[in-house]
Amino acid sequence: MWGNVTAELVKLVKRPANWLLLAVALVLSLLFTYVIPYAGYKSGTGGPTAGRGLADVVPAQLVGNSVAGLPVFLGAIMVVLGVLAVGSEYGWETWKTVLTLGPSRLAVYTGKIVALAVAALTFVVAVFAAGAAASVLIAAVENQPTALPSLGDLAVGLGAGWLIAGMWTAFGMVLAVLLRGVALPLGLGLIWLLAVQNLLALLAAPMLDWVAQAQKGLPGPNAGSLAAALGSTPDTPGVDSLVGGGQAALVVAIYLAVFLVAGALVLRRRDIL
Amino acid sequence: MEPIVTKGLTKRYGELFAVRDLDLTVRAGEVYGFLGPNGAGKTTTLRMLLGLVRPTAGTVLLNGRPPGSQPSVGALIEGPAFYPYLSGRDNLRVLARHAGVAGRRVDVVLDLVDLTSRGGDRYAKYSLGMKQRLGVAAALLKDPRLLILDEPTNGLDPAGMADMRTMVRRLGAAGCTVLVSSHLLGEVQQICDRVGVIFRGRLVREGTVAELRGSADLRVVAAPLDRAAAQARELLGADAVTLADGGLNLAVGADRAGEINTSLVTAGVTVSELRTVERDLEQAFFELTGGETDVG
Repeated sequence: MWGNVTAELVKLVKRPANWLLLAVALVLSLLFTYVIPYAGYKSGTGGPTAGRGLADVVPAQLVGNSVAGLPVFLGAIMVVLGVLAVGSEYGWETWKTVLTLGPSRLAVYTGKIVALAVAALTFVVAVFAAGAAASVLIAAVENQPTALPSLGDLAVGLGAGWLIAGMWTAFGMVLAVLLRGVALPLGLGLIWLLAVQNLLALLAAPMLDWVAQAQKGLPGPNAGSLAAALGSTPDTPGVDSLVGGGQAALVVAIYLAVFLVAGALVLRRRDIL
Repeated sequence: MEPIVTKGLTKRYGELFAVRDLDLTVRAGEVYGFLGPNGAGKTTTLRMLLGLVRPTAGTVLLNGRPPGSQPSVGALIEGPAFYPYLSGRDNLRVLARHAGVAGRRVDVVLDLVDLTSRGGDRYAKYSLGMKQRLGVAAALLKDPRLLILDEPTNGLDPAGMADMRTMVRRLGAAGCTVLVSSHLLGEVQQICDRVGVIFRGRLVREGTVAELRGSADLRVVAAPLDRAAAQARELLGADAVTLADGGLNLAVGADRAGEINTSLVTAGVTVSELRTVERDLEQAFFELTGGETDVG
């Protein structure tokens, strides 16, 4: 069992594409959470996020600012991570190489789950750390308080961020198992995350009440509600407090479990061609 | 206990039987050739042996146990498949972790396939022959007692093919049971103790290579051809004579070559070529399948 976990970790760590994803995640989150709002504040030219002012980028807001990207754009990056880790085994036909060496499919898949859980936590911690550095820097320059949130708040924020990141990674994994590849699950996963969810929230929900109600059971809006409960600003795409934080965390956790179990069952049952 | 026993092994995709009622027995220590044209069901059978594909019906026992979690089975199925961004050595290290094999085994198998000096290069940069050798190295990671190789010489140059045959023979001599699939009769006859022929999903013949191929033909090129054919039919019977490619194929042994030559020359025929030709696989298949065209 441990051998499968370390094998999957080696595959993740040595794959250049994963480091590129981490770099993109950090650049995007710094850019949209700190650089652009701060530049807007300095230039005073307005824009949709200018109104947030300096108070929104100080270290005290670290938790909300760090999880704000996870309902949509950081979530999309996690979907890519999950699809690549599982779908590439189909694309490169490496499932057969690994499985003919003896480990059971569930053991290999469990190894992937553990390794990707570590990867998801790494992404979330990196986003928090980069955000802490950026916000402390801004606060120091602008003579604002540099105190970070309490350890308890940080732990809750990291845990919630890990939960959302893990749920999207598992979404990518199960899509890759169902569609047995990389390209199609990647495309469909991102269409769902970036297009369909937004269309539902911005177009359909205001017009149709049942869509508005149904949204409360979907993974994206619950991730957004969880982020909102932790202080993310509703200006961020996907962040909206449709349901309470506790309920949102529970729904996201249920989706995480369903994605993982469904992926494992389908992988176990199907032929490896 | 036999290394491989299948009973009534069947795989059906909709109406199409990829493999049908296959009873296969591979004995301990033998090199068994699994022979058949492309699309005959070889790879599907091997995938079922390894637990990658679930049979529609029938059973597979490897060393008396169902497939999967076999401690001492190695396989190379349908060409090598590795992680292109890792080096050859790192690929094997990752696989050793999956297989629960000590890391030091990696250098041993790299050396066995002569890849030690290129072990640090990325797999994506390997030539086809090197990829194939790495595939064999992976199959040998667990120091298997049973090795399943699917068309291991596909895509190799002549030197690579010879190396691969040498290695299979060496493994067989060392007591390893080897099941090697191929669509080339010439290949299996050099390395295999026994051969099973699969055609349209069925095992149509099993035996030694010599039994399978039967006797060789005599090839005669002579002029005038019609008189030569008439003389040969008179001597050997009409069934034994076929006209092909501007000459005669005679279904008799080489021991009658002298007699036939004398007879033809005496009849005023000029003989320009007289030699034995081994039947190729196509002929063997044609005879084995007896014109069967439908298995569905």
